[in-house]
Amino acid sequence: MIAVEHLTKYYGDFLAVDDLSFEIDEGHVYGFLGPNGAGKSTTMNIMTGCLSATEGHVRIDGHDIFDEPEKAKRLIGYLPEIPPLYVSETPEEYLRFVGEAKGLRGSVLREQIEKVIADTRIGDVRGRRISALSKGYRQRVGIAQALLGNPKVIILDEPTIGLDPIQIIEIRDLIRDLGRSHTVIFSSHILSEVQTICDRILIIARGKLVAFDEPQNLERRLLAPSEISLKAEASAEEARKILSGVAHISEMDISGMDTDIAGMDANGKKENRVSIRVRTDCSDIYAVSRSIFFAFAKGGRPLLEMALKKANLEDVFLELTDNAAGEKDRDEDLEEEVED
Amino acid sequence: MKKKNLPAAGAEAKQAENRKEAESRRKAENRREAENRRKAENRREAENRRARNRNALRGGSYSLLISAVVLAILIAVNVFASALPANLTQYDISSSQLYSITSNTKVVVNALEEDVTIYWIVQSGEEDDIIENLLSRYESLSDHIEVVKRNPDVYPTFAE
Amino acid sequence: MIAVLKHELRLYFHSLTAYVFGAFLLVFVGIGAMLYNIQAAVSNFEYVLSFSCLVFVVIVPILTMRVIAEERRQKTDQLLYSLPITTTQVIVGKYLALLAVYLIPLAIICLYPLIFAQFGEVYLPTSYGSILAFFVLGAALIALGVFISSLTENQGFAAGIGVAVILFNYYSVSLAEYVSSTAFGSLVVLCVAVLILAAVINHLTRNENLAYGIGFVLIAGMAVLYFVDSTKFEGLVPDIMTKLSLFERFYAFVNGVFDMTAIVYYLTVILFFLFLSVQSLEKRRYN
Repeated sequence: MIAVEHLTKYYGDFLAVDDLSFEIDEGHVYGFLGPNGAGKSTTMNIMTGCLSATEGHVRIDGHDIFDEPEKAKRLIGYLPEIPPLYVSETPEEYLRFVGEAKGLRGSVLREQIEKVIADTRIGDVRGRRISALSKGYRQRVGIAQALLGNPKVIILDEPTIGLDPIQIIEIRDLIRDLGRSHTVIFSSHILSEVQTICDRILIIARGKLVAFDEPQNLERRLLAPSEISLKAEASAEEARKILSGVAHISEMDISGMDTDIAGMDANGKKENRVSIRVRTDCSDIYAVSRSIFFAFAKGGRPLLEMALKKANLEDVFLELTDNAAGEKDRDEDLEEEVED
Repeated sequence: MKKKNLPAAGAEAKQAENRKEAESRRKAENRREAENRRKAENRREAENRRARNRNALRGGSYSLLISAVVLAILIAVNVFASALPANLTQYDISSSQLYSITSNTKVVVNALEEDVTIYWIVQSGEEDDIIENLLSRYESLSDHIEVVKRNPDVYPTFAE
Repeated sequence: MIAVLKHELRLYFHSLTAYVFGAFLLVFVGIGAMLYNIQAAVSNFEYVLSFSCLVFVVIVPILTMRVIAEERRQKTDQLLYSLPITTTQVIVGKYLALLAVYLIPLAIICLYPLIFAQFGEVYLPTSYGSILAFFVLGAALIALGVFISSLTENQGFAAGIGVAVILFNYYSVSLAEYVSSTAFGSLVVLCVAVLILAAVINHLTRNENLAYGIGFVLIAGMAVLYFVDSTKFEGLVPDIMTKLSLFERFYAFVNGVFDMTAIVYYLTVILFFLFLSVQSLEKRRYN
């Protein structure tokens, strides 16, 4: 559907996009994930023909965006980071302009306008000037404009930025709905939303593509093991003895709790409480937590708190984006060393 | 006593030496690695810079070139238009028909067989539009007629 | 392109722009008509137009300042880039909308000669010939205004530069005569022009060698010409300015000559500046 080959973009001396290559298939929801300044907006601008690339090609359904711009752009609906709205118009006038520019006429145009107004639920404000609309409505008008003409590909740049939680949920639902009949690509730096909506995720950092996979696969790729944090009523040595009997524990980190926070028992004596962090490389983390529970029960020491921290996308994200940064830092360090 | 210490000292010294050798070897290796990486990066950066400048040159000079070409074409059109004889391009719309040539004049001019030179004594920059127009019409009426300007400042005695 | 045309027209007539432009133009022409035709009782309507073409200095920049500068500022140019229309279609659509706004007060002005003809002898061919030339002159200045608007994001700058350029154009011949009636003066002015050209080339291509090269070659060529025959430079700059000035060519029509070469010139000016505007918009994409 969309083929991006060796895309590179320099802003003067600054490398914004570094040899990006990927392919997008029809009918899925794709997420561009990356920290701010990673090059997501630049890539989207190039893909939609708003910006030129220093090197590389973008092909939409076989049409190169720079050699056959009209054919390629007819297949795309684009909402940039800042919705390009004519604020002195009403949504209806605005949509009519965009529809006409996209080549829609007459009854087809009218039907399309009604359809997108219904889909994005802006019917209440269709006659109000855009300058008088709230951010959430403006965003929805922007999405409506992208939907006109029923394009095969819909590209949204940070569509939920600045919206309140209810609006965010509505937009996410809309994206999920669209994903059923269109190819949707949207960018975000919020992990949770990418995780819940997307079928495939592309992680971009410092202009490079560091990962491209389904969310579950990405989580599995994580090298960092899972972590269990406990709070038990026991002394440090007791806790250590109990835990040494539990299988699959790779690391153990025991620290005594602050005596001020530690409570008093029924007799007014200060109790021993420890806070433990346990690392395990077992894939079934519940088996480990089960063993820990029974181990402490057998040892007669109460478990006050147990929390699981599963490997998740956030860790993958941080690790991968850190790696991209780390490589550059390592090279710099090495140079410094040699100069000695 | 000394004998005992010497081999021990020797062994230690040798260990220290080995350690130093290993370190310097490692350092040299690291240095070589970093240098190779740096060279590769520099090469890549130089290539990129050349590609970028080529692109800027391409982008900037492409638009410059095509603008120059378009300008040249448009200038050529204008030059062509102004080279056309005056009666094709300039129509008299004045109420007193200041610029039209009467039929009498046309008869006289058509009957010309010798070459006639009209000398217009005028300073450059002071030409009257109406006279200029009229004289250029005379010129375009017949090949025999030629209009030459003479600046009285440069040729003060010409009228004599 | 039609979409852009309709959209721009709606914008102009829903805001004050079209009305302010039309009002100013009609007021100026009205004052001129009062002075010439009514008070001085002169029956030549074309003198009124000759008097009122000064108003272009103000109303053309105001009309055209937001054409492209505003799109850039509001970031709606991104929308235009992502739509399946070419930049040329955008520029032509916008330009035709501006012409339409211009034609409306002009249509009213077309009635004036007829009205005056009821009260005296008005030679209509000169009047209507001049009105046509007035239209084409305005159209050329509007194209210039579109180009200036495409150079910046700031409407104020666009308006300011527009006023300056059109004012310069209006007084260019007298200025040129004042500055460089001698041959040497002409040479100096031309050298300055070449330097400006070299600076523009440098900015566009970021290749200093090319800019220096072209500049040097041109200045050397002119110096050689100067030493060979300096009389050629006499009055050269006033000559050039007369040929280039849009207003000078208009006065010929007022004098009673319907000059087709002037019409051709105006059309080439329009084409040239619209072309440059397209280039300017495209260049932003290349960043």
